[in-house]
Amino acid sequence: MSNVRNIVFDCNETLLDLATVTPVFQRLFNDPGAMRLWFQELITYSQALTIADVYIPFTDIGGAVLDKIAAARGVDITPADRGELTDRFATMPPYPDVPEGLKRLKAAGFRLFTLTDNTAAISGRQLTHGGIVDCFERRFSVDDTAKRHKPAPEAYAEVTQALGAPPSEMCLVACHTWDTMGAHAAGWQAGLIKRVNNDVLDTAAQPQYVGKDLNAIADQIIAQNGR
Amino acid sequence: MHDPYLIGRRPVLAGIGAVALATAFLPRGARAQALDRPPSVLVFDVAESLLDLQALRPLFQRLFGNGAMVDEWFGQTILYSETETLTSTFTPFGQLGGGVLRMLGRIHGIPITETDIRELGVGLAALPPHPDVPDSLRRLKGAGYRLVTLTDSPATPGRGPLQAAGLSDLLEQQFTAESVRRYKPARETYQMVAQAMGAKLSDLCMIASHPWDLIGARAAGCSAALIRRTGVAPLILPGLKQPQIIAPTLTEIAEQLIQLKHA
Repeated sequence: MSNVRNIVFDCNETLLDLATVTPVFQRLFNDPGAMRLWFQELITYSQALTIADVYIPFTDIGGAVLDKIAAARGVDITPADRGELTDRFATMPPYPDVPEGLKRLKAAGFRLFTLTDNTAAISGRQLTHGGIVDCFERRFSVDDTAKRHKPAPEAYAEVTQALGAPPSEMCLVACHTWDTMGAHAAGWQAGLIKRVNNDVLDTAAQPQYVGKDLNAIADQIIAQNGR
Repeated sequence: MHDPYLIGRRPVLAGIGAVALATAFLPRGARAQALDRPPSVLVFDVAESLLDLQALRPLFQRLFGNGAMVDEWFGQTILYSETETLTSTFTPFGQLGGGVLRMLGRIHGIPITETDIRELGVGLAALPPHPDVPDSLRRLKGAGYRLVTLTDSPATPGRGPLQAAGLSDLLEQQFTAESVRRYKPARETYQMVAQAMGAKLSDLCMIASHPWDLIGARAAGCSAALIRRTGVAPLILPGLKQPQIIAPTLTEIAEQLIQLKHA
């Protein structure tokens, strides 16, 4: 048995369905696979900029990566295209398993939070639109004080400091192994939801909970930390 | 399959100057700042920048039925190398690349064997140089530049793909991020090169086809040149230092650097 009390959720692709932005890439590049490339490069560059001690808000990096992919493919894009991407990104709906999984964890007595690379404004818009904003006691954004993107240690420390909680009481739930690696480095537990195109990396520290959706993760967290 | 003279789907006119190309991609107020003096040490990235990673396509075609998966594998390996640096962990690049290949196998429901991992390693050690590389390196060396490499993967002086291509004699040293156990674009990697070469960071020019590498080099105080090969474009953001030279092949970059020597 372990002692997790606080569960911190990643948002993009973990709770919210990233496939919502695919039509933008289909229309601009006639290639639905370009969405995956865009998100991969978005993370690659948010990490690279963080390593280089340059802070730029996440959606600004996302717009620049869209420009970069368009330039590489010789496609012209307009401010309206960039606006459509931001709009779709800000209104991604939750996956069907999310509302129930959140309710069960809350009913089991866990305190629920979010920690996102997005600004608080974008994240608030996402979760409000998705109808799940009230599930969370408090929402954290790396944009608030850390000004470093996940998986920088400062991002996770922002949460534990604000809650005054020891790392052993914290668990991150995400669908990205790079995020669970950050949680592990911070001394937190982690759960990995294996959303489409995501899985464990066996060379890295392993998450304590791995499942195909949030309900599978919730079962394991409740079983190990039942309260 | 992989023509360095094509950018995206558009052929590039050989006559377009690199400076014109560089500024064409930058927004108003973010013009590339030209180099006003020659750097003393040219630091080359290797995989994709000097060597053609697309030579690995047959392996990915065999495993995933899609040769282009090589790009996703390399991109994810870079992403996770950055994660290791941000979380102060270090897995050697070859092991990390093998782990990422197995991760992609799990995602796509394809079992990856030890033999597949070995084949990846053998393929990486035998990547051919891009066609513009041998001549450009020889000309830069002939113009008096000191040439070194800086890679995330292990350095292989005396063997490896640069030796096989007959290029390693042109290189004064081959540096690897493994020595500092932090991957590019960590400042420590560029600092290690400057220190070993007895040069200041501002005397180094990092040359790569990866904007993420050059973001780190510029932040550390080096100058930078982006080889804008197929599928490559700079990342442009207000306040982000851009490479001073952007050109579609190493040939144009070498020309500009040699002109600086004569200026």
